[in-house]
Amino acid sequence: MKLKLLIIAIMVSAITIAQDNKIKFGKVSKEEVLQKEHHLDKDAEAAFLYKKERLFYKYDGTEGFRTVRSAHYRIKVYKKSGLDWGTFEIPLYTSTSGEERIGQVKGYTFNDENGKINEVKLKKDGVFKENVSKYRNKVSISMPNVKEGSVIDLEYSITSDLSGYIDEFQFQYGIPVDHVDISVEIPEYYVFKRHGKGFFPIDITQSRKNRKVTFRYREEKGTATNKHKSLFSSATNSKSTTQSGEIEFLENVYKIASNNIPALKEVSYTDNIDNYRSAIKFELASTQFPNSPYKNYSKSWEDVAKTIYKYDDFGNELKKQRFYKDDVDEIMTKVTEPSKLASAIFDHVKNRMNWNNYTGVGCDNGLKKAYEEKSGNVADINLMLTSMLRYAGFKANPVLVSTKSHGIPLFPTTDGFNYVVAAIENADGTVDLMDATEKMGAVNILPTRSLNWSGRLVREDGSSIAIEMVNKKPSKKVIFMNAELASDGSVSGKMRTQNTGHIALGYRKSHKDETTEDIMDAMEDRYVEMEVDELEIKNEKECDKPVLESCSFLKENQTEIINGKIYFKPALFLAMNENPFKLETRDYPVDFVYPQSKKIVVNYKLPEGCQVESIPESASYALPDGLGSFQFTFKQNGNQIQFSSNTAINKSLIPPNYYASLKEFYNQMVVKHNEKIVLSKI
Amino acid sequence: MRLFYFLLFTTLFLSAQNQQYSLSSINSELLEDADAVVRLDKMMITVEAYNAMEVSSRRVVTVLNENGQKHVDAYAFYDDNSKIKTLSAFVYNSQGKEIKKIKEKDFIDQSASGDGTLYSDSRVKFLRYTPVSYPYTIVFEKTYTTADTAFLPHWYFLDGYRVSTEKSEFIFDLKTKIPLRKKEQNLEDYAISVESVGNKLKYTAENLKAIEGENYSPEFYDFAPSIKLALERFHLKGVDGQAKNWSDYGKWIYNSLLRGQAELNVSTINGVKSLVAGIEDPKKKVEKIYEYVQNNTRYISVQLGIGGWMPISAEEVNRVKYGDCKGLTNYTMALLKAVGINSYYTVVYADADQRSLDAEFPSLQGNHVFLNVPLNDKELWLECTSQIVPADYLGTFTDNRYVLKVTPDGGELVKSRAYENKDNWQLTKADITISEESGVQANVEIVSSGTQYNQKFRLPLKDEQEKESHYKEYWDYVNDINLTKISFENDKDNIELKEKVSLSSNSYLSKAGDKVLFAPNMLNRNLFVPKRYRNRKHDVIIKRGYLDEDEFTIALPDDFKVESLISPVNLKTEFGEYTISMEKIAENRLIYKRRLLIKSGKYSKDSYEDFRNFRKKIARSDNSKIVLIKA
Repeated sequence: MKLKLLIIAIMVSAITIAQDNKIKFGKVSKEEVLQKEHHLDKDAEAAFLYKKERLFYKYDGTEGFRTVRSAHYRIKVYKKSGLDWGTFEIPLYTSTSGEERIGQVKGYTFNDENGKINEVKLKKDGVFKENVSKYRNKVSISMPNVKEGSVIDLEYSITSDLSGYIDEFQFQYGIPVDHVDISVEIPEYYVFKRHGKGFFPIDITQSRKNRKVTFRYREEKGTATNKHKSLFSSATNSKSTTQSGEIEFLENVYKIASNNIPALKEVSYTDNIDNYRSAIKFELASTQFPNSPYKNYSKSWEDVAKTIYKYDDFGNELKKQRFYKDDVDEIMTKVTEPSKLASAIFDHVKNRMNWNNYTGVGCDNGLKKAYEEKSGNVADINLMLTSMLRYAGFKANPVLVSTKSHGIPLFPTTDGFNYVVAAIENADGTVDLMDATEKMGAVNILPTRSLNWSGRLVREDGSSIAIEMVNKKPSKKVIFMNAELASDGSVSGKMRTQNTGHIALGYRKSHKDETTEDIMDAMEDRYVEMEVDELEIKNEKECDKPVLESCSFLKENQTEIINGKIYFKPALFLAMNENPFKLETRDYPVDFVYPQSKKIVVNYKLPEGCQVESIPESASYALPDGLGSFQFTFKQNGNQIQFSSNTAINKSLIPPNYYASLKEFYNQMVVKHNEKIVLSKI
Repeated sequence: MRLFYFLLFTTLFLSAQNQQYSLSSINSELLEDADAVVRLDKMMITVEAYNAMEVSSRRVVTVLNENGQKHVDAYAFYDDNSKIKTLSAFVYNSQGKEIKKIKEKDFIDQSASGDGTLYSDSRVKFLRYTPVSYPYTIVFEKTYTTADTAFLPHWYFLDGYRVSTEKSEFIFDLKTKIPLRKKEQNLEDYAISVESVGNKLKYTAENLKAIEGENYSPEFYDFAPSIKLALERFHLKGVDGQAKNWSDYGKWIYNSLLRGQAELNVSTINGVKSLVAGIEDPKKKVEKIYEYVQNNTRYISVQLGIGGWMPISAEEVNRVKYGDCKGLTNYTMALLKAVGINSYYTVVYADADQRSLDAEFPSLQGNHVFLNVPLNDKELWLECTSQIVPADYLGTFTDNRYVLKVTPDGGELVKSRAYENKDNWQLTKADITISEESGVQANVEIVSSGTQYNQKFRLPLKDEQEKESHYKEYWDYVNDINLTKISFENDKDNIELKEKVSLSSNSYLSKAGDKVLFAPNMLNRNLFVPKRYRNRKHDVIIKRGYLDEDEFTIALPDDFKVESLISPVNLKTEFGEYTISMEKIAENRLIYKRRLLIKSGKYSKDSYEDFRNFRKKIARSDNSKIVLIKA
């Protein structure tokens, strides 16, 4: 048994080595060019036959260490829809403190031409460099002769001044990846931590080697250095004298190799598909250069929180009070009840401040300027709220958050957070969260962007605790309806809806600029052939209360009259007609964002001269492990019918292993909601 | 004394300005149905020469709510030929008090390559301002100079739907003797005054109320007031031109932008010749070459200088095998020429709106080019940017509109092919079997042509999950669908797609006590009812008609009995026709037939309710059910 295992292991490594030797830039095999479809994924429009990246440190007497990341991509196009894989857009960071530069761009496209391999070289006119914005340059590469069946070889390298930062190594794309080969060589002066993510496991092997660098450096007059101007040539500096030196050090070498990584496809109801994409990230933990002190970078989430707290545009900002003092004092004299004071301050910030849609844990404008200009980024606004709450005597602190679109950070890092909300720690140990960037938000009803994973509450002394950014309290929708059926098949009546929590937030947001006429029009549109009247909305602006909506309605054609009998769905136009989960299988969790429940109660008044011939049977159904439930019940007393439907989803994120149950759960609901009540003439 | 007077004057002036921008100074009529009010939109164009023009504008917009934000329009494009001279903005609150001043350097400067363009040399400076409360007013001023006079700015007195105009002023000062042509459109329906002194034109509009958008209405630019201007001598990115009619424009495009770009080397020419060797029929030759282009090139948009209007040479496209619409069209034209077939580079506005080049106003227009190939018996149209569209298929992208055919003898304005109502045909045939347990199984065949082909011909290229999603959404009223077989036949010669789908559902029929309900129209329900307008303002336009025919046979289990069939429906209206019939063809075998014809056309606004009623009746009928009783 052991022997067998060993043989397999040897074979595997032999194969890997063989592949390593075989894949050379610019040399493609006939098999690769002739392939008609992907060997594992017949639907694939294209595939990475090979992806190789090498990251190493280059030393230069004038510039110090810089990273060089060289890449070789070999892409096969199988279908016309995959032609876009022949075009590359490479973003490059740029700023006053350093930039990324691209060089050594080389490429070939190979095609089968009557059994012969035809190769066409990428020329300069296929490469475009542009300055997109202040912080971003972009290089676009359009490969020549790309068509169905093409194999593309592209090579380039990116040199970066930001030696402490290594961008993520991605292994998974919208197309399959056959072989991936990554090598990362880091001088001992830098200590990086490695973090992997995704469903597809990736292995790393680590070794060490000695490196000696003899280098020449230039002694210059002045400090101006001539940076690379062109993509294809490197610049030289003529006004300098050349010296030479030598350094010797150890290098950590990480090799990452993997085969046959499947394509990752976008699906609806997912939190953020990137959370499931296989990738490895290197994070700088510390540096120790010769003759320089040891420098530690973030390590634990506590450290991260502490580091961020010490930022000038974070902790320091929290101390500023003078600019809002008078306004908050005024609120404090008006609102004396402590339970209402926090909400009053929260409302003040919500009403005054306008979010500029920028995220970030640091302030953009600074609290004072933001307060004066009435606008700012999320940190400006929520740190201001935190500061005011502290001023008013609450135990208030900021909570660092990673938004849904930012994903779940792989490891403790200052980049892991991009958002901040305010929190009050109550005497009973509970925590109340507030986000004043959402004008319609309420205490503990945060905009969904921040409901992601886990946040970190940071106190003034630098200590911190984890805060689960999941709403546990279900958001509810309750609809009461009195419906009167007429013998012509129409239905009229009154309807009252109560929305709480996130459902109320959604309601407020979608109707904020609408008049009651607009809302009635939209309802008439949604329910088709319905006339809506007497619409009244309560608590639209009182965000801490449920929104109440009431109206009267008349709907023609809601029931069907067949052979003198009246057939109708018990929930009428509120019936659930469609299962939101249609696909047979699913690989990723379903994100409901927050636990939720919906209750519909209908009291019927039947037309004169009609009697109930049949009503559907009551039923109930539950998802496993208490994830959800629904009840469907009737009460009948002669011609009095009361129908109610109760649905609850108790968790915000439901793992994929429950998908089949979830699909069936909704299926049963649709079936029950479509059963009919039958009335017949007496 | 002087100083005092001066101060007094300034104060007066300032307070006047405050009032000017306050919300209360807006006529309440202008606030109706509006998300923003354009308080002043003023542009002054001074043409110094055929290749020198200065445009200065001042735009004051009161934004009433978040939806009105898009009317701020505070941006300025620039490139090597156009320079921004001044750029600034001021923000006022609803009382008219200045709250922010934005200088040119505070505008965000970035590349203007939009979506779908890989690279362009055009750049934009734009304002990013977060409103602190609504309403607020923004004053935006810019002046730019440009050598490009080929496209003089068109002037719209109303910006679009849900925005009103308090004052709009357009001044055109022609300082040279170049003849000017102009088109004033729909001015008579609005309060717009025109003054003309020498070579100076001035148009002023005041108090134009906001217009609410409606479905099935004419396009905004067809009824909105506007001014179009063109110089008979002009300049464009280093190229001079002269034109006064469509023929001249075509000639200019041919001589200045196309000539010499369609040369190919000898080996390529020989290659194309051997490609069509042995083919006699010219149409087959065209199809062969079009297929070659589709299989060997791809669309990449790069717009540099005159390259925004001039195609890259055919030789260049031949080398890299990519290009934008101009490059690929010109390349296809060159390949066809190599085998002796003439074809014409054709300029069009490509979009589903069916927008025509303005026939009455010869000028540089359009946003796309494609190819017209005249043969003896018929003309073919080729869309050279697509790798999958069949030859001679225009779809909804370029159908039925005025386009400019560029020939060596000049331009020719022609109408592209229209797809008539019945050309846009879909036939659905199905065998439906109902099971004892109230489930169904169905084998379906759908044939689509005309514009209905357009909606579906990409389906066969999708992956399995996308196909699954498509059918589950298409038949979203059938619960719990299980798809067992999906296949396609794409007939590119006749431009017809046949879909074959087998499916089942365990819960299609719904329970009603001891009976079950079955909706016979299981596979082509048209439940759409147009939105109700309490007061319809625009005529009704149906751009494209279509014809759907359906035939479903339904097999019932032996012990099921039909309580009653659906009674026939026969509707005939000016908008179209709808008929339904259901019959028993054998013991426990039913047949359901349906025909829906929607006619394209223009109908009066008063008929909108009739149109809605027609669609309502269709929706009801498509939803109707029969009762089955288990014996």
